[in-house]
Amino acid sequence: METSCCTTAAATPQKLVQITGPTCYKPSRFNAHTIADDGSLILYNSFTGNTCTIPAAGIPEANRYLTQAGVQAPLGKIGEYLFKKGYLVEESVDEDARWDLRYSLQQFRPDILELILLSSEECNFRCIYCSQTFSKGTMTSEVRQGVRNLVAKRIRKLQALRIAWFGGEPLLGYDAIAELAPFFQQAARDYDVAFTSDITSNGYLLTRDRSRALLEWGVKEFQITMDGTVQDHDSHRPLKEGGSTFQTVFNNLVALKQHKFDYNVFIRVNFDNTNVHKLTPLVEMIRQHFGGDSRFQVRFHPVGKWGGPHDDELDVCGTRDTVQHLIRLREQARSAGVSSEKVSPYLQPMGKNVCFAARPYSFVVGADGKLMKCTEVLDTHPSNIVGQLDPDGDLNLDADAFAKWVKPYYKEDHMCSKCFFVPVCQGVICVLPRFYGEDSRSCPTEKLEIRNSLLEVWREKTATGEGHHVQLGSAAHIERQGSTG
Amino acid sequence: MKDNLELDIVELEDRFDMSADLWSVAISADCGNSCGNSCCKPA
Repeated sequence: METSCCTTAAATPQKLVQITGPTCYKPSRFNAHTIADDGSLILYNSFTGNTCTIPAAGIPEANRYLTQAGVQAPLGKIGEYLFKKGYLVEESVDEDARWDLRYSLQQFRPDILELILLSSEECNFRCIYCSQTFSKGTMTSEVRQGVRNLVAKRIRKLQALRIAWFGGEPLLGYDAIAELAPFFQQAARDYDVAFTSDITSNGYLLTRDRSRALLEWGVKEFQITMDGTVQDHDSHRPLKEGGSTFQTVFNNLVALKQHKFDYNVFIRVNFDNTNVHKLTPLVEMIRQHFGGDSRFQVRFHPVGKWGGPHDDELDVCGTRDTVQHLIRLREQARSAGVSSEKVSPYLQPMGKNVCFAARPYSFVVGADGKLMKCTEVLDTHPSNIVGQLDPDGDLNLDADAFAKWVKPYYKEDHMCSKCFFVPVCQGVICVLPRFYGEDSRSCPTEKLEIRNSLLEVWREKTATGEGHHVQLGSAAHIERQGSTG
Repeated sequence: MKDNLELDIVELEDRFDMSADLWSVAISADCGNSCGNSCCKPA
């Protein structure tokens, strides 16, 4: 029999009387915590996404609530706060069931549609780490018609539509974008559907006129990659025919900045051992041109061996080094006055740490109408082809192939099902390893380095003063408001 | 419990508290996402 802080008198068949003790509480199994630079306790819960700090003076009391032995009612003020925010739960609560419910409601939604459209599968660059084959050109007219019909059929039942332009280089298929993007925007307006659209481009063809047109069509997020200043960028990201790309891309970014729209630009910086210690001049250039403009952020990303022909020649960073580089580079950017992508969204449930390929409402549409899930392997991996879009807008899905991408892998994975981080990554930060065996999975660096991740959140929020202060005292006593459990 | 101290807790992220209706949170238009690319941002 398990021991706990509570006692419950067993009912006897004769008297049918049950005597229960006071309510008991246990710490949430989704908690993680560490100590901040100022000695306060950083407390995080992956189910709610809440993160707070408790000053050093309150840590002894907080720790009494957070030990596995549990506590009995009544709770004090810290206990009431921890309960209200989900760090503390009633002992009877089945948190895994609570999580399964939330996952099911959010995962299998028919009212969201996310289309990643490969307007061109050809590319004008030949990046050293790229795994694509560039075997197809611009999206055909039949496929454009199919996409249009798919959206027209589904829009009435949607709450949200996301259109992502990807490639190859999507701007080589600018004709397809120009044909379809205004249609999506208008359809969403007509049916009052939340609409977002983004583009991942190398930036070479993103002239001022084109970026303005994209913004007018509702494409409000841009990811453009710069792998350093001219020498490193050009050696990583040359033209297909060979030749420099740095200055054209940078000039296009500067032109984009002139548009008075509300949008976001992620300047992605891929790093490996060849450039990771040489990025300071790039950060300085970004500061000079984009510092103080919150629409522009840098996003550092480690180069991987992604299956391209040059994988053996890549000098990629190891996992441990990668985490340290990421922390240093983000801090360096912040110190220089450059907005850097924050770690916080990667700690949120149902958020950035789940690959879109794991979502049943997300499809990659190839230039030839192939329906795929993963943008990394495209049609080079047979499991990635899950259907074929026809001109009428029917998906023609292979349900069995599709199901393998969207199933709840965390439930059958003995590590994921017990992991504190499961609401955040759901075992599918990347789905591909699931095809390579039962014990094959990827874990997010934010989880592997959870203490560093929490410290980074604390530093981000402290630096910007974003935290919300809650006084626990007589003047602001937190009333218990019940539980959803 | 002796937690009668007056404490200044700082909420670095405050997504929802447990008095919220979990069902509503889950099926709200923004689907609970915080992915940044998500569907919740109005056009």
